[in-house]
Amino acid sequence: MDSSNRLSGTSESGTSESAGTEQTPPARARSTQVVSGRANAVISATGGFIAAVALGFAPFFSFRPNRIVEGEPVSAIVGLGTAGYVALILILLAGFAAPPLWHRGHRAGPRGRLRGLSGLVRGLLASAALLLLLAQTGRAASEFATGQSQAARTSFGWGFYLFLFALFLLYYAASADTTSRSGRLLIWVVPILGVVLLAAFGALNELGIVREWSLTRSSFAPALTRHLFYALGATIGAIVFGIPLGVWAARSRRAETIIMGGLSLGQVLPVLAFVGIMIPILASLSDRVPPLEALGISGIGWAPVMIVLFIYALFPVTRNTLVAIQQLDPGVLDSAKGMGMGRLRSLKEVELPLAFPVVLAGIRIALVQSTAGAIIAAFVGGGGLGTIMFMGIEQTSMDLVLVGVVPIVALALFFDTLIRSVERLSARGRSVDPDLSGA
Amino acid sequence: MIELRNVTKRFEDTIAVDGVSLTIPDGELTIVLGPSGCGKTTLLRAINRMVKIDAGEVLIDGRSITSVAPEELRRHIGYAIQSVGLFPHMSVGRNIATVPRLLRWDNVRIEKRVAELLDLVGLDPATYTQKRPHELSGGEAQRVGVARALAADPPVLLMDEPFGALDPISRERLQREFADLHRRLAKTVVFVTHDIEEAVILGDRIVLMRDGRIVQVAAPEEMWLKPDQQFVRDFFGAEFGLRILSRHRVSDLVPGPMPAGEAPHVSPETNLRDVLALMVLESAEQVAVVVDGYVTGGLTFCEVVTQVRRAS
Repeated sequence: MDSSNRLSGTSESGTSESAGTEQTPPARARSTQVVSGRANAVISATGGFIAAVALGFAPFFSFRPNRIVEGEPVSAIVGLGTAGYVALILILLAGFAAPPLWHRGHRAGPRGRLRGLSGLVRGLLASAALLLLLAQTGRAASEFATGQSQAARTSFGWGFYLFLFALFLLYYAASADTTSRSGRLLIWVVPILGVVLLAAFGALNELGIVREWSLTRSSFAPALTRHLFYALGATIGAIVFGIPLGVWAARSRRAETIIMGGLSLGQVLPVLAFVGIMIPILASLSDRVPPLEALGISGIGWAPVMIVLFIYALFPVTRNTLVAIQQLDPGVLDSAKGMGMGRLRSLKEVELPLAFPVVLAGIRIALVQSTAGAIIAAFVGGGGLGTIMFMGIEQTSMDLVLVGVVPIVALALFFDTLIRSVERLSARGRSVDPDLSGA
Repeated sequence: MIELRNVTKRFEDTIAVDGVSLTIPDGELTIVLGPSGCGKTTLLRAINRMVKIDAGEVLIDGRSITSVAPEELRRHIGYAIQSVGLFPHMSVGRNIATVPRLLRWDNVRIEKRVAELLDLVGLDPATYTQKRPHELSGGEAQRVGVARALAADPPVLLMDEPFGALDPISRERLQREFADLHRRLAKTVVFVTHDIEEAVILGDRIVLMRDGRIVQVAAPEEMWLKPDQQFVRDFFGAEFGLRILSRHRVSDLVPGPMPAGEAPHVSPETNLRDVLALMVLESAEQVAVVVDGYVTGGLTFCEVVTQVRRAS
């Protein structure tokens, strides 16, 4: 439909050959924007549809007399009544209010003002639905909790998680449609801030996950600190050693073969097996070298975890440094050398600054990977959020598992977003114009 | 003065430069010309030790280039290459200041020098100092490249096909401007190219190379009139004479008497190639030289031909 429109448009305007070719590029550009606008609208509608199904038919939450027993799963509209229906309507509006879904020929500029505005409104509607559902579930939970034992839990069912996924689709499409930066920021910040506020005012206190969190509260902060210690420590180690290794590998073919070969081998080995190997090695080391023992380095505890995470984190940092330097414009390197820069000077002033965005991407991967990987510490008595997660698995308490997992996911997402934005800033104005690279 | 003595460079099993001896006089623009793979770039890079030669030696002003550290040597030799190689993360000003910074000039002096150099290469300092390389056109980038090579006022300038990647129009403009620049600055320039036109227009002398050896070293006119070998004649081709003509202007010749009848007008700045083309176009035996609207003399076809030969 769309392509036939474009074709006929071109042939009408193309009275002469040159006029036709002149007009083709803008026409094509406009039509791709219409297509991408429609793609967002379809994503949005899909999100709305999935969310509606999740609210209407899937088990949204369940009341359980104690932590272990299966509760009676309830869908949102059954469990929450009016509030559930209101949320359903809000979310349907949020999903289906994208203009390109309704006007086929909607082409008011690259991102039409109407579309931009609808993006923001859709994001806010979806947030309203989320916050309403959370608040009402929290209320239902506290109603259920009165007259029940301390062990009673209100837990989310898979419908809730499906709803969260659908919500992500909605936000994605909404922020892609929104023209202004602050509008896009608002779409993501409002739901996060809203949940924080609900929690702060105690509206979520009786939800299972919050109950479990308050029970493990005393061990939560140390676990979180320990987890961060692993993730950041391994990443910092990887930066300190990985960048020089990458530079070295970029300088000589043989070094590249040895370094990258060795690091790939480390990647192939399963993490847990790796930790297993480290235990006896470190145990015998600390037995023989008393200063190591004094540092707390032994077969179990933080040392094997840190070492293994470090070796895993080394790979992305080293590889990205290597690739970044290998891909530098040879003309730039030649002129740096030809003007009398020494090796170190060229590295410091030209190669590393130009490689920086790519190296940073490697650091990001290392950090996110270490954040998730630090779960293994729980296996060797190393602490961290993994401990809470495994406790939850042992006690078959999904809520407790989430108390461990949700902060890990949040941390990983946070690090990822943070470093990505630095990458974007640092890559600005750094691109080498193809005209300049010449031959 | 740059002296190359028996310079030889091998790459694995090919000989790039094969026992080349050459003297490059001060203040001249010496073109190293030859088909691709003839070793001209290797020869150039041997001068600033970007290529480590296997045998022979290179002297600049009588001192061996191995008597100082390679970095130190290169800081005193200008270097401009076809791909320009501007540092994309630095402003134009900072790019130009590269060698002065390496030489630890103070900031005031560097700033002054950058502005001076931008002026020299025909770019407005106020507009261009803060620009980033990706904001420049190919021609502007190469101007900045030349300014950067001249930054610390080196006596010697090495250029490896600096205008090779440009479109014909900006290439021609830059060539013309560079010829003027060279006339003013009188640097010792070694300029590698495979473009015959460029070589003939710019070169005070041409070093013609083939298979790692020098075939002939001569001024373009001499190479035209007295080619050493059939290869020289073949390499420059039938158009060589016309290209030589474009090196000379009407003002280089002694004008004859005023033309009797109607004759096409030329100015003293017109090059002789264009004069001949005009004669053919207008079916005229002679042209009138016009200065400020007045005919000051005339040139006949015979005069052009004989005087060019004599001047060469």
